[in-house]
Amino acid sequence: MLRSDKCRPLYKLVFQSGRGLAIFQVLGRVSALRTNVLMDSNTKAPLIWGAQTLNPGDWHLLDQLWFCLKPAQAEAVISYCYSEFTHGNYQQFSALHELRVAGSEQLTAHPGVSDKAIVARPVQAIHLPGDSAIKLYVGTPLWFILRYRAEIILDVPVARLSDSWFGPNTQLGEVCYASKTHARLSLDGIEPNPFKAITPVTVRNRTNKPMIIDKINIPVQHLSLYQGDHRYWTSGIRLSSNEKASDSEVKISSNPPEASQNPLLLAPPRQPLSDGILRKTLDFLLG
Amino acid sequence: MPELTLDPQFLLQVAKAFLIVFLGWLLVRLLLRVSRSFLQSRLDRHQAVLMERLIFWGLMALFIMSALKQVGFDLGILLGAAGILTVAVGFASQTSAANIISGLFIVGERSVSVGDVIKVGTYTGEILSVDWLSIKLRTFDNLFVRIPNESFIKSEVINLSKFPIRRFDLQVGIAYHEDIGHARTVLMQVADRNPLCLDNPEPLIIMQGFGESSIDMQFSVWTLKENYLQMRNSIYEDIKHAFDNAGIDIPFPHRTLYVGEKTIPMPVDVRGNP
Repeated sequence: MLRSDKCRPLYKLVFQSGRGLAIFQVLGRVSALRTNVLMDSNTKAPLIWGAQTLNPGDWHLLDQLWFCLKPAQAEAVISYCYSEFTHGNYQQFSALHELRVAGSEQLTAHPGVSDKAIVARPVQAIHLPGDSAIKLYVGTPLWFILRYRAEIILDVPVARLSDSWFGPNTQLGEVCYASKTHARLSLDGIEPNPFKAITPVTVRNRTNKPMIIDKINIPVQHLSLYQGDHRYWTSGIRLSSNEKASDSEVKISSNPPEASQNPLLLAPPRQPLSDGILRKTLDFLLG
Repeated sequence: MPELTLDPQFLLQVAKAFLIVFLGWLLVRLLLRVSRSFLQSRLDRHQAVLMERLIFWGLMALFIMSALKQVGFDLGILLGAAGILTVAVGFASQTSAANIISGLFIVGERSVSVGDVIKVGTYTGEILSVDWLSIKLRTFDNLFVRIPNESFIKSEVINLSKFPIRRFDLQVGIAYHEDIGHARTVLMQVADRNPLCLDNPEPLIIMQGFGESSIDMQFSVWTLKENYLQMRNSIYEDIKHAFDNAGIDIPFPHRTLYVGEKTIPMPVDVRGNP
């Protein structure tokens, strides 16, 4: 069933390819869409690099994001919308957005990280005893960034995320996205997914009291994006709590995560931190 | 015609007076420049401007008085005259004075600032400026509203954009034959699927009671203040779709007519067209 929650006219989409297939497009004068976010639909691993060719006007799917590029005279029309695969059908749950790019040069697409922090929850609340540490893996959706020359013309997540609020109360806090997936204690529980980047999070409890981790704020906008052999990764973060809540901090690793094999830097942080340390009170980091 | 003679001593004093005012002006400007970043870091824009003006005119008054004394004016008389003048002007401009003083309180209280969306009386709009005498609003139907500071300070003001998130309370009723637990699940799914509804604070369902025709509940969802209107519009549509899909009946007011314990069915006479 196709449904719109906006007033823009809807197009009935005919989905041809299987879920998870993303391909490149040659667009007449807009010569090629070059991307490094491509992935294989069967293995769900990022494999293909470089320019590819396909029929103009085809719809392509990146997780929940459908997009289509149509060439026109000295311009390209980029259309996109979101849908999800439920009950054997794709259900569109956002209006169709369209933008036009005037010009005949090449478009480039590349993956990026979120523009806001993402809040993730473990499967169950984790009880962390005093003076101990734990390592969690959190998967966060990638962003699809399309550029014309150096200018970003489209910067959207590959899956629609819900807004959330993280803070001690409704007056103090930070606007975030809510992750639909759980933080895991082991990589084994996370299947390689070409649409998600994994952030290794080390939580160290330096106090002598136990700590309960119910939700965790991942400042993804300050992290770099890497590609490993089978997965996308972000920089690792180390979150430590001290006796004084005001001393708590997030330290962002400047190196690729250890678990990533043959890492390749894909995107620098959206909002780089000068010393790689984010100082916040504990209320703003853990819930 | 008497010859106009200027005493060189007097001229020297006048020159000194001008010099005092000029140097004072330079000094005050320098002081303000140095203190500007300090003021702006601790006060909001309006308060900083107000404080700058107070500092400027306060210090300049000292320099001007000093200059007048240099020329030979008796400041006692001058201040007395100024006092009388102030009283006279004060009586003549009570309303303006009340507005100015109210304006000082409004700025000091920090309850509103430029760009906030507020509701005062029957007006809802965005604050364009907070001035000495009045607050200027632009309503959403693009009307310019000037509210005198005195009436503003006496009114109840709702600041709709003070905090980053807002809650929307939606009243919804379900038919008596529906399962409340099922309706609750469907409503929570609606909030989960609408990306504008915040995941945290979690949506809330409050049972309001057994209404005349429906079981009434309040569905409270949180959203970012800038998405409030969009969320409010979309959530009604989402609930209607979700209830239709789940087969949950949203009842309209109706009455069951009962005419006694042993009543027989109400006779209905159906006649065909002649």
